Amino acid sequence: MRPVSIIGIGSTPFSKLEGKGPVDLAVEASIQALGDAEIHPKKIEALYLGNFTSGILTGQEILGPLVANRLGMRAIPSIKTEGACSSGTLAFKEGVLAVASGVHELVLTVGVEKMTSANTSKVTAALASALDQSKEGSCGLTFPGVFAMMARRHMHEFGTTREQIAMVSIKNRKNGVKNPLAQFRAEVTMEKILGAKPVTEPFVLYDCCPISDGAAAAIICPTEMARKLSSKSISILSCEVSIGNASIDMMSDMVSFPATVEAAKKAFSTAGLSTKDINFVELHDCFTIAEIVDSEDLGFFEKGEGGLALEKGLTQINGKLPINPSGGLLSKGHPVGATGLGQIYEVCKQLRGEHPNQLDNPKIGLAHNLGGTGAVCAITILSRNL
Amino acid sequence: MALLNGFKCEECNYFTPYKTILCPKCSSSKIVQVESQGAGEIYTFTTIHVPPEGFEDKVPYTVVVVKLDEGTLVSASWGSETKPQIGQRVAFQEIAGSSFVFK
Repeated sequence: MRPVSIIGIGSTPFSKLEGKGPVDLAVEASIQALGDAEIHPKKIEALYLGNFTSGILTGQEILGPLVANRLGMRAIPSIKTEGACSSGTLAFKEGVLAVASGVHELVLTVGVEKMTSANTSKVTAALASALDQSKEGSCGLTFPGVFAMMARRHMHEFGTTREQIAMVSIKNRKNGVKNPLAQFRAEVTMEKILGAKPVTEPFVLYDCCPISDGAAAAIICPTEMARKLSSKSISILSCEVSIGNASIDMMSDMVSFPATVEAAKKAFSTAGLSTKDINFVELHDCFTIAEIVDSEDLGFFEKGEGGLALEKGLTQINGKLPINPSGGLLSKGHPVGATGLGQIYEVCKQLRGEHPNQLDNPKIGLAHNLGGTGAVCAITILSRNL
Repeated sequence: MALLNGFKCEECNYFTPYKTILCPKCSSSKIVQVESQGAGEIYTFTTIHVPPEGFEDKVPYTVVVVKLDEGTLVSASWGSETKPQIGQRVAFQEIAGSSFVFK
């Protein structure tokens, strides 16, 4: 396998984007990425597109060829990936493999989701299609429900407090204020969170990411080519995927995601790095408790101490390990199929020194993208090309 | 309280109330049908106020995860008016629709 790099990135805002369907959004992000890379669309040899709910929510499938055609592409392979909320990074991973193996020189990876045209109960049901419908679906369980149950168990086992869990939302909303792509750009207070009406107890609205539209894209090529073509290319040190437990009866506990633990092991091993080498993280905070659980599963904090780390301010922008300086899913939004590539976009922006919440000279960043109830996890470690 | 039909792996003893051909833990094909006492304890729970399509007229409703005495976690509808507590002993009642009901 040869080393590979990201040579161009693009992203729409993550928000309610009226009048734009999934194809429009994916095309918009792709054109940005092609422009950023200064690559003509005809040079692209394959397209990998991540999407989760477009069939259910918009009635539109066959997104890959539709997007490719709109970019003027013909006679190339196009593959769609689906792994619920990790669909985007799964597309990116396929692109990485295609270039690293020598099959292709230049590929476009794009993630997209159009969610706001449907009402909340329909979106909730569409997202719940990533639960095992024959098991969890039959008792009316939802994603906010599963994560609320995780929160309750985490509090029970480790003494994590409701306030610590709320601090995830306060921190990420604060980080989102400056991000022009973020759906929520206003801060939230502890008082407001603790007084809000319940969604799935103990969760309120502020514990949950919003329903969003959006797309993000990245162009991948061999590192040797990237060095010649661009002064701002980003090296892909590793992109690893692992499945975990796709239904509750497979889980031995509900305070950890084995998919994250296993994908992290592989990602650190492939990159030849440890947690100490990572300067900042964009992780999958689909719900407040998820950030605490993920930060532990990735190995940055001991199991049960994620809440405490947050309380100590370790994960703030100016902390020892900034987590979700973009605002995360909670603030930036969660157009599910786009999210993974959105995280990769944010990490690239930081490494290029172009981020609205720019950290002080970060060298290595990690993106963590989770699908389903920890059914699948994709982890990407990126660094500047020196 | 009722017996809970399920499947047990003769190699690793894993029990599941869901039909299976291979053991989801050890991949063995030595699966036998068994009857469980349907006893366990509340592992965690939530009360849902924002439902998916099809559950709009049921809110608020409580969903529990029960840790069966056999060790397996299962999601289930809560069949009691009182709020569940983590660690509370519970028993399988019935299958409503295709959902297990515990109280």
